[in-house]
Amino acid sequence: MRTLRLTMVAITVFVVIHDRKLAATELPHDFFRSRCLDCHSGDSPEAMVNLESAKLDWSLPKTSHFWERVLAAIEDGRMPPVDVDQPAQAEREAAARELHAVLQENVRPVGTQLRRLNRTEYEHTIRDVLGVPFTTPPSFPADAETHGFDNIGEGLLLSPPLMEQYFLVATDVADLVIPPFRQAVKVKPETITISPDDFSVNFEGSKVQSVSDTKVLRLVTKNEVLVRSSTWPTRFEARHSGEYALRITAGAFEPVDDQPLKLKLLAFKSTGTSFTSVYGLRELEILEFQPLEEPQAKELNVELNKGETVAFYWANSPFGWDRDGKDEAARQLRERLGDPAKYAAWLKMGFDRGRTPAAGWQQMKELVSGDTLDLQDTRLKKLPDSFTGTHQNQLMWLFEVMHHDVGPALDIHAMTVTGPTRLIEDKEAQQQRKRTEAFLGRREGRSDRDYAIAILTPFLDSAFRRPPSKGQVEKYVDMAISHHEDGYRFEDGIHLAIRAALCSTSFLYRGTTAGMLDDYDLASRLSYFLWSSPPDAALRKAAAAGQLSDPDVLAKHTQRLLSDRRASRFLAGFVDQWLDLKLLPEIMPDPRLLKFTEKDLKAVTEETRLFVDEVFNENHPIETFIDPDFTYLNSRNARLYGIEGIKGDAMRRVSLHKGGRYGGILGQASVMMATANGVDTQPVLRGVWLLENVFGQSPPPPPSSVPAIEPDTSGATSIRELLSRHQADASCAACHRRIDPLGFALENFDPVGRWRTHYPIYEKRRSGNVVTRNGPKVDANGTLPDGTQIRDVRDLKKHLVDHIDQFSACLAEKLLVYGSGRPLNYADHQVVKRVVNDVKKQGNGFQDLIIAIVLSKSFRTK
Amino acid sequence: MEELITMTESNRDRRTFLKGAGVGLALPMQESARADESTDFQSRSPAQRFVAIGTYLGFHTPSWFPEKPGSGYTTSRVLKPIERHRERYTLISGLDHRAPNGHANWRNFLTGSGTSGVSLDQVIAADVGDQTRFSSLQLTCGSANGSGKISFTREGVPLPMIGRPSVVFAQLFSSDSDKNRMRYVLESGRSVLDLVLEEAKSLNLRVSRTDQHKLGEYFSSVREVEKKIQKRREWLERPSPEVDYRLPEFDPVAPDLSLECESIMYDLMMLALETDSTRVITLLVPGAGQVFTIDGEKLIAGYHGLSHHGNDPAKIADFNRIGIEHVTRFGRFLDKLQAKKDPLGRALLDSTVVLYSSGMGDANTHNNSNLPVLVAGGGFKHGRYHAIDRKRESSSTPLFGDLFLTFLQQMGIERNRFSNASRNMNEFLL
Repeated sequence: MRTLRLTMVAITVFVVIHDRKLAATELPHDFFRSRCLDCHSGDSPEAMVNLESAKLDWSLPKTSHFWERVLAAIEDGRMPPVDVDQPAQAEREAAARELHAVLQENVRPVGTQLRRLNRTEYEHTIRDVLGVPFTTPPSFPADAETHGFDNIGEGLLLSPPLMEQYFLVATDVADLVIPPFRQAVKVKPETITISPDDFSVNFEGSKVQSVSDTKVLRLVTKNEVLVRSSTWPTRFEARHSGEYALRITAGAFEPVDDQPLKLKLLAFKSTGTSFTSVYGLRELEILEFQPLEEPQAKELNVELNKGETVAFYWANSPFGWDRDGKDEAARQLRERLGDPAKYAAWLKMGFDRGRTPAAGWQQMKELVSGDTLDLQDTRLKKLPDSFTGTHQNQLMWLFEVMHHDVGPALDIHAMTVTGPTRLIEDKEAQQQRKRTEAFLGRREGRSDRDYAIAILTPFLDSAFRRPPSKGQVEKYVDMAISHHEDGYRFEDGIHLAIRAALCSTSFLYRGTTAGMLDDYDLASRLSYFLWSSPPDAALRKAAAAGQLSDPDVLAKHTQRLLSDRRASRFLAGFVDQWLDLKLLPEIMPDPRLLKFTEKDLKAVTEETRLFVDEVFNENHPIETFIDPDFTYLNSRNARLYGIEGIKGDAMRRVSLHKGGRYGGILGQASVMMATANGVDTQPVLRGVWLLENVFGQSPPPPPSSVPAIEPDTSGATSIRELLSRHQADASCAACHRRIDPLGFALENFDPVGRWRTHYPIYEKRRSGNVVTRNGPKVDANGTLPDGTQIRDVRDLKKHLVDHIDQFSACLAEKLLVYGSGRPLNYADHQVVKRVVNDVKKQGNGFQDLIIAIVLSKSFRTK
Repeated sequence: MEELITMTESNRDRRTFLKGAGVGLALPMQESARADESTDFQSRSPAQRFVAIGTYLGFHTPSWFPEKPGSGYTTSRVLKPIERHRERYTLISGLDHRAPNGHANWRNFLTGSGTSGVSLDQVIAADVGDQTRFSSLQLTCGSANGSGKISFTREGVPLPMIGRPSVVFAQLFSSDSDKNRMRYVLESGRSVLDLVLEEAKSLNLRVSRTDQHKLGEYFSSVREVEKKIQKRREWLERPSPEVDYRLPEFDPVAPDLSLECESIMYDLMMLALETDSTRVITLLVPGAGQVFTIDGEKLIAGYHGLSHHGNDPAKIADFNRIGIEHVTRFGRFLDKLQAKKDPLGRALLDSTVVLYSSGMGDANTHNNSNLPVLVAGGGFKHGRYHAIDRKRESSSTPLFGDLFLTFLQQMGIERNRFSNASRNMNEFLL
């Protein structure tokens, strides 16, 4: 029945509007003429909306968008504005119905423009297609964000500087597959003598000591951090990958027992980070030296890669702790302080942040040998069980110096290196060779042309994400062959073809088929949506077999992609942009509010990421985004929420009561920070944010003639008083009655997401210190346009859960925009409504929603 | 011993070509601009070059700033090694970005307050960079682990720095084999562009009107790249500047040798400026736990440990010894900038804005305020020490960014805002 009536209405309008392509002024509908055209016509129409001049060319996306906006304004009562005669409800509804019908008739899901690969997609595509290590260089211009995301066809411009980068990077990448020809050179082995002065000395781990007339390099600790325990020659690094002959002379200084001293030799890239775990470095050899003072020489051959040097680590030093943890640290320190004189000296010296370890040991030594210590002090009987971090470190460094002075220690007397005595293919070269071999395959007696076809066809297939046409293959093969004929190597021809492919439109753009996507474009759309990378072999196979458009097959592949590790790229790409997490690093909270560090930033960001991960992984109902019974905390964000008992930096899952202040996207500090500026909150900004990202409505931009309302920092006028002007003025109220109540509902959250009952007022004392006192009370009350009373965020959450379809639709729309790369039109909105309904019947799971989106007509249309 | 056969390095070839590895490639200078350099220089702004040097751990500011402001000040201990240049530089205390404290925020040094935005050098490079072979050069000394970043792109991406002298040298004065490779890449690049244009044209016939519009971006960008290839080839055919400089046999990249590396980096910076290979250079002077040996004597603690001196005079003394080493090297750089002449016969220093400072004001307390600021050259009025009174701070108290705006103006770059700053410090320097 309903369908019939709509069709009839549609026909009437269709005849008049569509068939004759008339402008809106000629709408027979009295509504527009009597209610709208007074303001919305002429040379300077109100709000730049001219209903008179609107051309009805439905092939243009903007036509649909325009009439959708008109429809929304009529439907939600924003237009005509409240200060003019209002139409009767029936009249309004009739007008809306007719517009719906017109849109229904004329608008199809369509409108994705050619999508250039964005930065992330480009990176993954290069890696996947060529199997090379690759990171997009910083010289790439950033991608613009449109409609909330950086993967929208319309916004992804190809500027000349970017094309230049593509051109340059194509060569670098091709070099990784087929390296340029290199001329052979001769290398002569050299012998280098390295004296104790020519070793890297950092912190207290190693030190050059004079022993009688000579110098030794002394090691005392097995601290795990290379730079804190170990040492390496500063003027030797392997110039070529190869074998080097080492001669190392070392001995013991005041050894503790008769066990041999184990000197572990590690390969260390001389420009690598020295703040690294010794366990992460390649072990070359463990040399054993007898616990004797006289130097013992050891000779050995080691293989070093270009740029590597040899680091020395005393693996069985009696001092130093790493993986043994805190207990071992306490044990060793207690052992050394077990000497009552030393402990008495330490008690007397106390902790002093500014004292160098060397000065500390000097002072302790003097105190121990002097007569000022009270060895009867009862505290000496009870050594502490453990030490605080700062004390532990200071004692550790002090005792490192002590061991340099009195032993036990391992002394390096001399070292010589001769090499390279033999050249080796290092890991990098080996990987390079394997890559080249894998890419080129075997020639197997084929002609150059056939061989080139065999190499380039599969490459172009994966680079273009669809089988290349015969003509295409021919062009690339011709290019390779003619380059070879010009006198370059056959491989250089292939290299050139790779470069060309990486600069071509087939590689750089996706989604060229019009209308319903063909299987290959569908495979790409799905794969870039969930993995930010080109389709894998299984997807391509399904596409090649023409099966992907089968909804069951498509659903199966979607599920497969969702359960893969790579789906984390979707979470990062989508969530960071939807919830504006990417803004956080740029927001520096006012130090008067609280001291905010990188670790706090990390905690609030991680909370949201882990939260969304769980909703995703567990396929939780969409309601969970609004009112969950869990969140993720560590000591840092727990502090913001005033939740006690959470210690340490490790994030963990914490149960919450539903219906509370915190948790979910309406209660997480990340969102509260992203929607404020770090200093104060502006209800209008948060209101607009909620409207757009939770309620799925986009308010028109603020009128340019009206200045923004600035908060009164003196606290004399409350923000509510200031914003009351929005309600007084009808033209403001049209939008602000939707915006302001949402913003006010979040006013209890300060700019870093802490709950507050009063606004702060800062006062500068005469001393220069700033003190905070309570200013006006926070008033989070409001009334939603549908009459719902909101006392604070808890009521807002309840309202959203009760009207979850509204949020589901918003989320679905965002997903669809991100996935399809276009702003949605009227037809897409109708598709979303159906998707939301269907998914709700299945339990409203987040993953179910994603799958339903993928299966929808909108996702599958260009 | 027998000789072994290996392959030549291919990395260098690649690095010379790949943008973003410490250098920004640029277009060749316009032929017309080259033809008559003296008129060209006359018509330009007072300063053409910009060099910023930042020491990661800063200086002991009480030993750096003079006691009294004005022109008759007594040079401080740490600045003694450059006293001979005192009429060519200005000292300013009380400047910073009002940015947060700590090592992590050192990155604000050239970017401004609490932002992850573009650094001053890159703002300048965007303007003057196309006039030289390299739009800018980012350097550090050795491996520079854990010593932050100094230069950032417009998107806030840190630019890699080169810490190996041999690599900087190879970049600046590429060998014939490097050039041959680049010539090959550019030449064969023409056929690459021909092929992709042909393909794009056939695609253009198959797509919608909107997509054709989109492809318009592609066509015009490819044509721009063709033009750029042409310009780069012109550069290539111009001989690399010949310099009489011998690099040491070995790259001193170990942290302990960073002072040695610093000396070489200044030499290379000088060569780069003198040959007009670039006009924008940043140098990050690193600092971590390395224990320096100065005048044959090991210091009492590592560099980072000394920076947390806790006001212990012995530690401050050793911290200052390192500071003096840095300043001494900087002094030799100033000597050369003063000795070399530009095409107008003026000292190169006069048309080079040199900022010598740090992102850290007081390493002892990890405080990033009151930075040790020294400005040399650039055609500014020098010889004074300006102490900005922060006790009576008002909205007219200058910010570090205001100084940047004066630099930009001196280089003829119109900009009235830099991060949180929107005025300038002209009255101090002009």
